[in-house]
Amino acid sequence: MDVQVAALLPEIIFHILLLLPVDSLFRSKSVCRDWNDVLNTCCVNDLLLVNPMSKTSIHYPLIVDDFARLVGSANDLLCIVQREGISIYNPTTRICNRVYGGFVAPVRHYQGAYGFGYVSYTDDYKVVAVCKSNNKVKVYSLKTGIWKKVSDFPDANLLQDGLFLNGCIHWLDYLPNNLPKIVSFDLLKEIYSQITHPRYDECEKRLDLGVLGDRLCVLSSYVEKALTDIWVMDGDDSWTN
Amino acid sequence: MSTSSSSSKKIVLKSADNETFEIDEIVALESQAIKNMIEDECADNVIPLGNIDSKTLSKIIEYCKKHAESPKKDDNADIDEKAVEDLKSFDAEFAKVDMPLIQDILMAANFLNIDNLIGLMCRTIADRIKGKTPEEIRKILNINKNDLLSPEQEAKAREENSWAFD
Repeated sequence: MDVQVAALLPEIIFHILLLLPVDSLFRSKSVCRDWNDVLNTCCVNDLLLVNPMSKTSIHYPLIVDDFARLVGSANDLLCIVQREGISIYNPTTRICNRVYGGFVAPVRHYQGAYGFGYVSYTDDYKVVAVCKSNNKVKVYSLKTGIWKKVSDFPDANLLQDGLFLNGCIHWLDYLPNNLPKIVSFDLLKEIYSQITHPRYDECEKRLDLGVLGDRLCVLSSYVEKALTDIWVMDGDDSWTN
Repeated sequence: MSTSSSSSKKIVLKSADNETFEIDEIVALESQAIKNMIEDECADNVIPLGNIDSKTLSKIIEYCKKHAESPKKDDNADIDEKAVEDLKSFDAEFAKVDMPLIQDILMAANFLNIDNLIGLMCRTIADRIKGKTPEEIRKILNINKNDLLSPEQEAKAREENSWAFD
Protein backbone atom coordinates (compact mmCIF):
# COMPACT_ATOMS: atom_id res chain seq x y z
CA MET A 1 0.00 0.00 0.00
CA ASP A 2 1.39 3.36 -0.89
CA VAL A 3 -0.93 6.02 0.38
CA GLN A 4 0.75 9.37 0.67
CA VAL A 5 -0.30 10.96 3.91
CA ALA A 6 0.74 14.51 4.65
CA ALA A 7 3.00 14.84 7.66
CA LEU A 8 1.32 15.63 10.95
CA LEU A 9 1.64 19.12 12.35
CA PRO A 10 4.01 19.65 15.30
CA GLU A 11 1.22 20.49 17.75
CA ILE A 12 -0.54 17.26 16.78
CA ILE A 13 2.66 15.24 17.19
CA PHE A 14 3.11 16.88 20.59
CA HIS A 15 -0.42 15.91 21.57
CA ILE A 16 0.15 12.28 20.56
CA LEU A 17 3.55 12.03 22.24
CA LEU A 18 2.13 13.23 25.54
CA LEU A 19 -0.17 10.24 25.57
CA LEU A 20 2.72 7.79 25.38
CA PRO A 21 4.46 6.13 28.32
CA VAL A 22 7.79 7.79 29.04
CA ASP A 23 10.02 5.07 27.50
CA SER A 24 8.00 5.06 24.26
CA LEU A 25 8.19 8.86 24.30
CA PHE A 26 11.97 8.94 24.35
CA ARG A 27 12.29 6.11 21.86
CA SER A 28 10.15 8.19 19.51
CA LYS A 29 12.96 10.70 19.14
CA SER A 30 14.49 8.64 16.38
CA VAL A 31 11.28 8.12 14.39
CA CYS A 32 11.83 11.09 12.08
CA ARG A 33 12.99 14.70 11.92
CA ASP A 34 9.67 16.25 12.92
CA TRP A 35 9.33 14.06 15.99
CA ASN A 36 12.92 14.66 17.01
CA ASP A 37 12.35 18.42 16.72
CA VAL A 38 9.19 18.28 18.79
CA LEU A 39 10.92 16.24 21.48
CA ASN A 40 13.89 18.59 21.57
CA THR A 41 11.76 21.64 22.30
CA CYS A 42 11.78 22.67 25.88
CA CYS A 43 8.06 22.48 26.46
CA VAL A 44 8.21 18.67 26.50
CA ASN A 45 11.15 18.82 28.84
CA ASP A 46 9.34 21.26 31.08
CA LEU A 47 6.54 18.85 31.35
CA LEU A 48 8.85 16.06 32.39
CA LEU A 49 10.79 18.28 34.78
CA VAL A 50 14.06 17.80 32.97
CA ASN A 51 14.26 21.42 31.88
CA PRO A 52 16.89 22.59 34.35
CA MET A 53 19.05 19.67 33.29
CA SER A 54 18.52 19.70 29.58
CA LYS A 55 20.90 22.47 28.60
CA THR A 56 23.97 21.78 30.67
CA SER A 57 23.81 18.10 31.29
CA ILE A 58 25.51 15.21 29.69
CA HIS A 59 23.16 12.30 29.50
CA TYR A 60 24.66 9.73 31.77
CA PRO A 61 23.41 6.46 33.02
CA LEU A 62 23.39 6.45 36.80
CA ILE A 63 26.30 4.39 38.03
CA VAL A 64 26.45 4.04 41.77
CA ASP A 65 29.69 3.30 43.61
CA ASP A 66 30.25 1.99 47.15
CA PHE A 67 30.40 5.46 48.60
CA ALA A 68 27.14 6.63 47.11
CA ARG A 69 24.66 8.18 49.44
CA LEU A 70 21.42 9.99 48.85
CA VAL A 71 21.68 13.60 49.96
CA GLY A 72 18.09 14.52 49.32
CA SER A 73 15.39 15.12 46.79
CA ALA A 74 13.47 18.10 45.51
CA ASN A 75 10.46 17.87 43.22
CA ASP A 76 11.34 14.78 41.20
CA LEU A 77 15.13 15.12 41.23
CA LEU A 78 17.49 13.14 43.44
CA CYS A 79 20.91 14.28 44.57
CA ILE A 80 23.44 11.53 45.10
CA VAL A 81 27.00 12.04 46.34
CA GLN A 82 29.63 9.60 45.20
CA ARG A 83 33.40 9.35 45.38
CA GLU A 84 33.90 10.78 41.92
CA GLY A 85 31.28 13.47 41.94
CA ILE A 86 27.73 14.44 42.56
CA SER A 87 24.88 13.13 40.44
CA ILE A 88 21.59 14.88 40.02
CA TYR A 89 19.25 12.28 38.71
CA ASN A 90 15.77 12.38 37.25
CA PRO A 91 14.25 8.91 37.73
CA THR A 92 11.36 9.66 35.36
CA THR A 93 13.50 10.44 32.34
CA ARG A 94 16.58 8.60 33.64
CA ILE A 95 18.73 11.55 32.74
CA CYS A 96 21.63 11.99 35.09
CA ASN A 97 23.55 15.20 35.45
CA ARG A 98 27.11 14.78 36.69
CA VAL A 99 28.42 17.67 38.74
CA TYR A 100 32.17 17.97 39.11
CA GLY A 101 34.09 20.33 41.33
CA GLY A 102 32.99 21.58 44.69
CA PHE A 103 34.85 19.73 47.39
CA VAL A 104 34.24 16.34 45.96
CA ALA A 105 37.31 15.49 43.93
CA PRO A 106 40.17 16.57 46.20
CA VAL A 107 38.37 16.08 49.48
CA ARG A 108 37.30 12.61 50.53
CA HIS A 109 33.58 12.11 50.71
CA TYR A 110 33.39 11.78 54.49
CA GLN A 111 34.80 15.26 54.96
CA GLY A 112 31.92 16.98 53.27
CA ALA A 113 28.33 17.50 54.24
CA TYR A 114 25.79 18.36 51.60
CA GLY A 115 22.37 19.74 51.01
CA PHE A 116 20.14 19.74 47.95
CA GLY A 117 17.05 21.82 47.31
CA TYR A 118 14.87 23.79 44.95
CA VAL A 119 14.56 27.57 44.74
CA SER A 120 11.13 28.37 43.38
CA TYR A 121 11.83 32.09 42.94
CA THR A 122 14.56 31.46 40.38
CA ASP A 123 13.30 28.01 39.33
CA ASP A 124 16.69 26.55 40.09
CA TYR A 125 18.13 23.60 41.96
CA LYS A 126 21.13 24.05 44.23
CA VAL A 127 23.67 21.80 45.86
CA VAL A 128 25.36 23.10 49.02
CA ALA A 129 28.72 21.53 49.88
CA VAL A 130 30.26 22.15 53.29
CA CYS A 131 33.87 21.19 53.85
CA LYS A 132 33.99 19.96 57.44
CA SER A 133 37.70 20.54 57.99
CA ASN A 134 37.77 24.27 57.25
CA ASN A 135 34.10 25.37 57.24
CA LYS A 136 34.32 26.51 53.60
CA VAL A 137 31.06 26.38 51.69
CA LYS A 138 30.32 26.27 48.00
CA VAL A 139 26.96 26.37 46.27
CA TYR A 140 26.30 24.82 42.88
CA SER A 141 23.47 26.13 40.74
CA LEU A 142 22.02 23.70 38.24
CA LYS A 143 20.87 26.59 36.09
CA THR A 144 24.23 28.29 35.72
CA GLY A 145 26.25 25.10 36.05
CA ILE A 146 28.89 26.71 38.24
CA TRP A 147 30.09 26.46 41.83
CA LYS A 148 30.14 29.67 43.84
CA LYS A 149 31.94 30.28 47.09
CA VAL A 150 29.71 31.67 49.83
CA SER A 151 30.53 32.79 53.38
CA ASP A 152 31.92 30.14 55.71
CA PHE A 153 29.70 27.92 57.78
CA PRO A 154 29.46 29.20 61.39
CA ASP A 155 30.94 26.02 62.94
CA ALA A 156 30.90 22.99 60.77
CA ASN A 157 30.61 19.98 62.99
CA LEU A 158 28.08 18.34 60.80
CA LEU A 159 27.50 14.64 61.09
CA GLN A 160 24.85 14.37 58.43
CA ASP A 161 23.70 15.93 55.20
CA GLY A 162 21.21 18.74 55.43
CA LEU A 163 17.48 18.52 55.24
CA PHE A 164 15.63 20.55 52.61
CA LEU A 165 12.43 22.34 53.51
CA ASN A 166 10.74 25.53 52.27
CA GLY A 167 13.72 26.91 50.37
CA CYS A 168 16.23 26.25 53.17
CA ILE A 169 18.66 23.52 54.07
CA HIS A 170 18.76 22.62 57.76
CA TRP A 171 21.64 21.01 59.60
CA LEU A 172 22.38 19.99 63.16
CA ASP A 173 25.73 21.51 64.06
CA TYR A 174 27.37 19.61 66.93
CA LEU A 175 29.33 21.74 69.35
CA PRO A 176 31.47 20.07 71.97
CA ASN A 177 29.69 19.72 75.36
CA ASN A 178 26.71 21.59 74.10
CA LEU A 179 23.39 21.10 72.45
CA PRO A 180 23.81 20.96 68.65
CA LYS A 181 22.72 24.15 66.93
CA ILE A 182 20.03 24.06 64.29
CA VAL A 183 21.53 26.02 61.40
CA SER A 184 19.54 26.80 58.31
CA PHE A 185 20.84 28.08 55.00
CA ASP A 186 18.53 30.06 52.75
CA LEU A 187 19.11 28.83 49.18
CA LEU A 188 17.88 32.05 47.57
CA LYS A 189 19.57 34.66 49.77
CA GLU A 190 22.50 32.34 50.55
CA ILE A 191 22.63 33.36 54.19
CA TYR A 192 22.68 31.37 57.42
CA SER A 193 20.36 31.67 60.34
CA GLN A 194 20.01 29.82 63.58
CA ILE A 195 16.84 28.33 64.95
CA THR A 196 16.18 28.34 68.69
CA HIS A 197 15.65 24.93 70.20
CA PRO A 198 12.46 23.76 71.81
CA ARG A 199 12.59 23.20 75.60
CA TYR A 200 13.83 19.66 75.88
CA ASP A 201 13.96 17.64 79.09
CA GLU A 202 17.14 18.02 81.02
CA CYS A 203 18.57 14.53 80.61
CA GLU A 204 20.91 13.01 78.04
CA LYS A 205 19.43 12.91 74.61
CA ARG A 206 20.03 12.41 70.96
CA LEU A 207 18.55 14.81 68.42
CA ASP A 208 17.44 14.21 64.85
CA LEU A 209 15.90 16.58 62.33
CA GLY A 210 12.89 15.60 60.32
CA VAL A 211 10.04 16.94 58.24
CA LEU A 212 6.44 16.46 59.27
CA GLY A 213 4.01 17.60 56.60
CA ASP A 214 5.62 20.85 55.52
CA ARG A 215 7.12 21.73 58.87
CA LEU A 216 10.46 21.14 60.48
CA CYS A 217 10.53 18.83 63.46
CA VAL A 218 13.14 17.68 65.97
CA LEU A 219 13.09 14.23 67.46
CA SER A 220 14.66 14.17 70.90
CA SER A 221 15.33 10.68 72.12
CA TYR A 222 16.00 10.28 75.83
CA VAL A 223 18.22 7.27 76.26
CA GLU A 224 17.47 6.57 79.92
CA LYS A 225 13.74 6.95 79.62
CA ALA A 226 13.57 5.06 76.31
CA LEU A 227 11.32 7.83 75.10
CA THR A 228 11.23 10.07 72.02
CA ASP A 229 9.59 13.47 71.89
CA ILE A 230 8.64 14.99 68.58
CA TRP A 231 8.80 18.77 68.48
CA VAL A 232 7.13 20.41 65.50
CA MET A 233 8.00 23.96 64.56
CA ASP A 234 4.94 26.23 64.50
CA GLY A 235 6.38 29.45 63.21
CA ASP A 236 9.47 31.44 63.95
CA ASP A 237 11.06 29.88 66.99
CA SER A 238 7.89 28.41 68.36
CA TRP A 239 7.54 24.69 68.96
CA THR A 240 4.81 22.23 69.86
CA ASN A 241 5.55 18.98 71.57
CA MET B 1 -27.14 13.40 3.69
CA SER B 2 -30.45 12.79 5.38
CA THR B 3 -31.55 15.02 8.19
CA SER B 4 -33.74 14.31 11.17
CA SER B 5 -35.61 17.57 11.50
CA SER B 6 -36.54 19.55 8.44
CA SER B 7 -37.35 22.74 10.32
CA SER B 8 -33.81 23.51 11.55
CA LYS B 9 -31.35 25.64 9.62
CA LYS B 10 -29.16 23.85 7.10
CA ILE B 11 -25.52 24.26 6.26
CA VAL B 12 -23.92 22.89 3.13
CA LEU B 13 -20.32 21.71 3.18
CA LYS B 14 -18.42 21.09 -0.03
CA SER B 15 -15.49 18.69 -0.10
CA ALA B 16 -12.28 18.96 -2.11
CA ASP B 17 -13.72 16.55 -4.70
CA ASN B 18 -16.82 18.78 -5.06
CA GLU B 19 -19.28 16.58 -3.23
CA THR B 20 -21.83 18.53 -1.18
CA PHE B 21 -23.18 17.57 2.23
CA GLU B 22 -26.26 19.23 3.64
CA ILE B 23 -26.31 19.08 7.44
CA ASP B 24 -28.19 20.67 10.32
CA GLU B 25 -26.56 23.78 11.66
CA ILE B 26 -26.41 22.21 15.11
CA VAL B 27 -24.19 19.44 13.68
CA ALA B 28 -21.91 21.94 11.96
CA LEU B 29 -21.52 23.85 15.22
CA GLU B 30 -19.50 20.94 16.64
CA SER B 31 -16.71 22.51 14.61
CA GLN B 32 -15.40 25.60 16.35
CA ALA B 33 -14.06 26.90 13.04
CA ILE B 34 -17.44 26.69 11.29
CA LYS B 35 -19.13 28.10 14.39
CA ASN B 36 -16.87 31.14 14.22
CA MET B 37 -17.59 31.54 10.51
CA ILE B 38 -21.34 31.44 11.10
CA GLU B 39 -21.13 33.84 14.05
CA ASP B 40 -19.04 36.26 12.04
CA GLU B 41 -21.57 35.89 9.22
CA CYS B 42 -18.84 35.17 6.74
CA ALA B 43 -20.28 31.82 5.78
CA ASP B 44 -22.25 31.66 2.55
CA ASN B 45 -24.84 28.99 2.00
CA VAL B 46 -22.10 26.65 0.92
CA ILE B 47 -18.86 26.31 2.89
CA PRO B 48 -16.07 25.01 0.66
CA LEU B 49 -13.53 22.77 2.41
CA GLY B 50 -10.82 22.56 -0.21
CA ASN B 51 -8.45 20.42 1.83
CA ILE B 52 -10.86 17.70 2.97
CA ASP B 53 -11.94 14.89 0.66
CA SER B 54 -15.45 13.45 0.70
CA LYS B 55 -14.47 10.17 2.39
CA THR B 56 -12.92 12.03 5.31
CA LEU B 57 -15.68 14.62 5.44
CA SER B 58 -18.46 12.04 5.60
CA LYS B 59 -16.69 10.36 8.56
CA ILE B 60 -16.39 13.69 10.31
CA ILE B 61 -20.06 14.48 9.75
CA GLU B 62 -20.97 11.04 11.13
CA TYR B 63 -18.99 11.89 14.26
CA CYS B 64 -20.42 15.39 14.65
CA LYS B 65 -23.98 14.18 14.22
CA LYS B 66 -23.60 11.61 16.95
CA HIS B 67 -21.97 14.07 19.32
CA ALA B 68 -24.46 16.85 18.54
CA GLU B 69 -27.38 14.53 19.29
CA SER B 70 -26.00 13.30 22.55
CA PRO B 71 -26.55 15.44 25.68
CA LYS B 72 -23.69 17.76 26.53
CA LYS B 73 -21.76 17.24 29.72
CA ASP B 74 -22.19 20.75 31.07
CA ASP B 75 -25.93 20.90 30.33
CA ASN B 76 -26.95 19.34 33.60
CA ALA B 77 -25.21 17.65 36.49
CA ASP B 78 -27.02 14.32 36.53
CA ILE B 79 -26.09 13.24 33.06
CA ASP B 80 -27.48 10.06 31.66
CA GLU B 81 -24.95 7.26 32.32
CA LYS B 82 -26.29 5.32 29.38
CA ALA B 83 -25.73 8.19 26.98
CA VAL B 84 -22.11 8.45 28.11
CA GLU B 85 -21.55 4.72 27.62
CA ASP B 86 -23.28 4.90 24.26
CA LEU B 87 -21.01 7.72 23.12
CA LYS B 88 -17.94 5.85 24.34
CA SER B 89 -18.76 2.75 22.37
CA PHE B 90 -19.57 4.89 19.34
CA ASP B 91 -16.12 6.52 19.61
CA ALA B 92 -14.43 3.12 19.94
CA GLU B 93 -16.21 1.83 16.81
CA PHE B 94 -15.56 5.07 14.96
CA ALA B 95 -11.79 4.76 15.51
CA LYS B 96 -11.65 1.27 13.98
CA VAL B 97 -10.42 2.45 10.60
CA ASP B 98 -7.07 2.23 8.87
CA MET B 99 -4.21 4.57 9.72
CA PRO B 100 -4.22 6.81 6.59
CA LEU B 101 -7.89 7.67 7.21
CA ILE B 102 -7.19 8.31 10.90
CA GLN B 103 -4.47 10.76 9.94
CA ASP B 104 -6.73 12.46 7.39
CA ILE B 105 -9.52 12.76 9.94
CA LEU B 106 -7.06 14.10 12.50
CA MET B 107 -5.79 16.81 10.19
CA ALA B 108 -9.28 17.76 9.08
CA ALA B 109 -10.48 17.83 12.70
CA ASN B 110 -7.55 20.08 13.51
CA PHE B 111 -8.46 22.38 10.63
CA LEU B 112 -12.13 22.42 11.62
CA ASN B 113 -11.19 22.71 15.30
CA ILE B 114 -13.21 19.83 16.75
CA ASP B 115 -11.51 19.23 20.08
CA ASN B 116 -13.12 15.91 21.02
CA LEU B 117 -12.32 14.39 17.66
CA ILE B 118 -8.68 15.57 17.78
CA GLY B 119 -8.38 13.95 21.21
CA LEU B 120 -9.96 10.70 20.02
CA MET B 121 -7.69 10.42 16.97
CA CYS B 122 -4.56 11.24 18.97
CA ARG B 123 -5.44 8.59 21.58
CA THR B 124 -6.03 6.08 18.79
CA ILE B 125 -2.64 6.77 17.23
CA ALA B 126 -0.89 6.72 20.62
CA ASP B 127 -2.49 3.34 21.41
CA ARG B 128 -1.28 1.91 18.11
CA ILE B 129 2.33 3.06 18.45
CA LYS B 130 2.72 2.48 22.19
CA GLY B 131 5.65 0.17 22.92
CA LYS B 132 6.65 -0.05 19.25
CA THR B 133 10.16 0.46 17.87
CA PRO B 134 10.91 3.56 15.75
CA GLU B 135 10.98 1.33 12.65
CA GLU B 136 7.54 -0.05 13.43
CA ILE B 137 6.19 3.44 14.14
CA ARG B 138 7.46 4.69 10.77
CA LYS B 139 5.71 1.81 9.06
CA ILE B 140 2.46 2.26 10.99
CA LEU B 141 2.31 5.98 10.25
CA ASN B 142 3.76 5.63 6.75
CA ILE B 143 6.35 8.30 7.41
CA ASN B 144 8.03 9.66 4.33
CA LYS B 145 11.60 8.39 3.83
CA ASN B 146 12.76 11.95 3.11
CA ASP B 147 11.77 12.98 6.61
CA LEU B 148 14.05 10.55 8.42
CA LEU B 149 16.98 11.61 10.55
CA SER B 150 20.45 11.30 9.10
CA PRO B 151 22.32 8.20 10.33
CA GLU B 152 24.44 10.43 12.60
CA GLN B 153 21.41 12.18 14.08
CA GLU B 154 19.67 8.87 14.62
CA ALA B 155 22.70 7.38 16.35
CA LYS B 156 22.84 10.43 18.61
CA ALA B 157 19.13 10.24 19.46
CA ARG B 158 19.47 6.54 20.24
CA GLU B 159 22.54 7.01 22.35
CA GLU B 160 20.95 9.74 24.43
CA ASN B 161 17.96 7.60 25.11
CA SER B 162 19.59 4.18 25.06
CA TRP B 163 17.81 3.18 28.28
CA ALA B 164 14.49 3.41 26.46
CA PHE B 165 15.58 0.73 24.01
CA ASP B 166 16.32 -1.94 26.64
